Amino acid sequence: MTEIIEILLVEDNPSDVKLAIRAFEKNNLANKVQVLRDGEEALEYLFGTGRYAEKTDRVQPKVILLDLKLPIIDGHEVLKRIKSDPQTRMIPVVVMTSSNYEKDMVESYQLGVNSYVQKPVDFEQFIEAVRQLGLYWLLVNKVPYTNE
Amino acid sequence: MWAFWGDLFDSSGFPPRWKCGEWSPGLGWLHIVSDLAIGAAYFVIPFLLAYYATRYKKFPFKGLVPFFVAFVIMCGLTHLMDATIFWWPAYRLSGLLKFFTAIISWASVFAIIRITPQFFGLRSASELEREIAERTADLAESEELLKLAVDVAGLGLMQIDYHTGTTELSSLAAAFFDLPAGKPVPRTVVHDRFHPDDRPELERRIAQCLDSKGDGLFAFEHRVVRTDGSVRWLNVRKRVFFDGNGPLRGVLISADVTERKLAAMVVEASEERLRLTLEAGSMGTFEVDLKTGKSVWNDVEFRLLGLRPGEIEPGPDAFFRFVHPDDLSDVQSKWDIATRTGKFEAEFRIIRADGQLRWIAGAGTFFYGTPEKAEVLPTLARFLGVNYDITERKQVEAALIASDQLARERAEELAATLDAVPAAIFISHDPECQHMTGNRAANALVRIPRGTEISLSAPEGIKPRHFKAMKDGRELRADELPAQQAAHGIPVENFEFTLAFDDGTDREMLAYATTLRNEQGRPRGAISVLVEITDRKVAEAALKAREAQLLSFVEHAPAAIAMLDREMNYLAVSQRWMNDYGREQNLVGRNHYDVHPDLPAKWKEIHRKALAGEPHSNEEDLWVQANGNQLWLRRAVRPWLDASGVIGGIMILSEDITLRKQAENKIRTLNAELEDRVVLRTAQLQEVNLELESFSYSVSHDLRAPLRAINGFSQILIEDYRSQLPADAQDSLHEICDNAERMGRLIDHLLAFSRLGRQELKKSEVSMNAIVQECLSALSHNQSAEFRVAELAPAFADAALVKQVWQNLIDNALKYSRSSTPPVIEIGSRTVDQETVYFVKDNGVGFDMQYVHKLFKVFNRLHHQNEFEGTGVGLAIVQRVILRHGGRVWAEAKPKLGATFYFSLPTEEQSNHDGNH
Repeated sequence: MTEIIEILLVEDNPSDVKLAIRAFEKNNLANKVQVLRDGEEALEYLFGTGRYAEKTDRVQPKVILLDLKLPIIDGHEVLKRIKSDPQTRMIPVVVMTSSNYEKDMVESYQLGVNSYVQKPVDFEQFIEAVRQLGLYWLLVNKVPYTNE
Repeated sequence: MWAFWGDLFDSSGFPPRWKCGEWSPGLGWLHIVSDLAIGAAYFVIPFLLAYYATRYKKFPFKGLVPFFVAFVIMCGLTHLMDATIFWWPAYRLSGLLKFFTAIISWASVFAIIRITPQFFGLRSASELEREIAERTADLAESEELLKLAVDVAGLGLMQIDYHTGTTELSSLAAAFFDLPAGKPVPRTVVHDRFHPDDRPELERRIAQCLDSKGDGLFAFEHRVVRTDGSVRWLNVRKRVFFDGNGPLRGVLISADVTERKLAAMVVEASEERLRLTLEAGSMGTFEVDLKTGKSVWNDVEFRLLGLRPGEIEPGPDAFFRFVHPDDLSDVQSKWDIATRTGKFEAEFRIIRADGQLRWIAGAGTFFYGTPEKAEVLPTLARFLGVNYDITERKQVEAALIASDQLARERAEELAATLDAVPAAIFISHDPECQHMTGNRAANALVRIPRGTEISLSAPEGIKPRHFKAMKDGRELRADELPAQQAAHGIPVENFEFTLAFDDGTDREMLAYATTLRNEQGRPRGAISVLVEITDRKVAEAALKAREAQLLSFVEHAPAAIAMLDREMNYLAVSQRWMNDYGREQNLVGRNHYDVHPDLPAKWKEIHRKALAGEPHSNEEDLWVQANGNQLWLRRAVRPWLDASGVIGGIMILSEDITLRKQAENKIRTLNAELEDRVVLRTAQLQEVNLELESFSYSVSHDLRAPLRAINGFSQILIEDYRSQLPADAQDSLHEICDNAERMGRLIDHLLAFSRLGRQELKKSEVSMNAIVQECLSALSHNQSAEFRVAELAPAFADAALVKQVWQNLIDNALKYSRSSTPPVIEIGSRTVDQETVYFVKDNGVGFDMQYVHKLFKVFNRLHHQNEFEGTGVGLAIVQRVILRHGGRVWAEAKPKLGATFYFSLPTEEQSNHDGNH
């Protein structure tokens, strides 16, 4: 946990988490990943509340990978909260979901998502997608410096 | 003495004679009456004496008369006095009267004594003989003297002997009668000379005076005609003497009064001339002296001829020069006649000196000159005449003639007009209509040529016999015919009857007739007009027949029909009406409202309006009957016209639609229930749709995750343990990965397919060329197929879905032709009948047409998975999209010879049209 968290992965499906982490590992990004299992935890982490109220060393991630189908608070709600709060509004959010429903995609963009990626069934494609996401959002994309 | 006489009328001292002595009334009255009679007689004598004394101037005893008169009167007075004294004893007066009477008596005596010898002179017999001889000679002399006197006086003397029946005429009388003088001629010869016009009266008077009971006197003026034809006027006096047997002889004295008569005529003529002169004021006069031949004209006469007075020498021949040549011979011949008859009258034209044409009336008369000797008869001496200008009168006459002409022309025009009138017009010329004439149409109607009698009232043998006037099945009497009625003063209007002809044809007539009246207002004839109404009658009969047909139709019509008259009584009802509303009664003749007293008031109003000509119909109307029954009726109420074209009543067509109405209500209830059910089902369907939605969502989301895990972890196994796993195990893991991927694709396609069914179409004008190019450009560059793309018709469709269709078909074609060398894919379109057909043709493996029905079904495939991969959803999507657009999809193929896939889309017009339904 010495590495600075740069990727926040909000995903409740453990298989997907494992596959995602394997993908990050292949790209040497695994140590910068913080996995959260539901929407509530994600929000607590991001706003320093609940379970993460005491964690003062917490930093804002460079990108949030958000599944839509989450327990307790779903992905759309989480996205809405992130994008409606000035503290988190600047953080790029990439929705990564199994749904290829246009409705989900439209709603996500309306809530201000930065990118929408459908999780492919094919593992190699999945690895490739994660790699590109990491590269892009962590290395290519520039965000303004936020004053904490 | 004088004192005594002073009281002359004093009767005192004397008693009336009745009291003096013993008078019996008989004796007294004898005295009185006798005295009065004697007195009266004495009074008469002097009057007679005085009368004769004054009348007969040669009375010889004139000196005696006064004495004698006085003597007689005095005698009369004394007798009167004697009668008076019986009551009034005036003896003094009586004495005085007697005294004077005595004096007068004696004076008379002396006067008589003086003339007595003269009065009573006696003659002897010889004295008498001589006296007779003297007298006879005197008589002959006096007869001779009479003859002479008569002759000298210019009188004719005729002596008639009735015994011999002859007349002897004096020379003058002989001249008057143009008979021999001095010898007896038969009376009849004399009578022959009488003017025929005067003869009857003359003979009557002659007979009268020959009657011995009469006085035998005769006086008359008459004409005689002499052998030369000249006429003389005679004034005749005649005396007839009679003996015991009758007329003995007669004396007749005649005077020629011709001149006097002519003079009177001339006076008459000159009075006439004067009158004319006064009236006209511009009278020309002319006078011709027949002895000298000289003429005199007045100034006006000259001016009449356009001459200055005295400009020419006047005279008949001078005048004739101005007479119009056409009239000259007439004027001259009249003048010649005038010289014999003494009268001239003519109207003629002259051409005046100034050339003007004038009409002149001339009149004149001859005057007789005074005869110079007694024997010579008066002769024509001069001619007096007048001429005056009658040009204006002639013009007026001409105008009158012209107006007569005009009237005649009008009459001709009227006759021509009458002939032009198509109606038959008859004119009756007498009240009995024995003679009638007609205009052309009238003659044509009764088939009688013009000029032949057409009156049925004409006498037998003349009246036409080839037709009769009939009415109500019998022949009309002559006095019942319209013209005859009108000719008797009864005007006729709208009289209908039939002219029945021998040949069997009947002509129906409508007659009008008016009376013609004379100036006294009495009927003198009639004008009657006959209008043929046969056609109308035939039409009426036809209408009646139709009415009967209608009634029959009504009775037998399979609908409920009632025909009613104006009072709403049934005339006819159909059997159906009887069944529906008749209540098993015979309705004909009964009143609708009596049969159905419970009819709604508004229906009665509808009936009233229909009777006024306003038809009515309604699709349904409720009749709540008195017994509570509810009848639903569909009705039509309309007026019907009788034969004369007026509304004879109404016809009601009524259909009992109660059952239909009930059925409709049932259907309405069912429909409402169905509507509810549809709403319910729709709600259920929406629910199901929602469920399906969430199911799909779950499928897409939740089913994919395990697949990904299966695939991912199998992959990890292969990557991490490749060296430790035997080849079989590795193949198995690959198999797992492939199947997981394949299932993922299946899920994707299935979801896409299911979403198509729910997705809303967003149609717009779509360029198929552009879409096809998009699809082709997205293809990977390493494929070697040859595309032959024709110009494609644009479509009206949902662009995204149509692109999917093209994509799928092109993919399909590529897939199944990839083994061909080279693959050739043709794309094209054609528009037929508001439908555009697109096709994609390949030269691939094709398929057997017997399985074509499976081609477009989901998950149905005609090839093995190891031969050609696929989920079996692509063509199903194509079909679903095209069907949702209202198009069709089909395919043609042969194994190994390629396949052609067609789809059609409606054109925009057709698409909109369908969309409206």
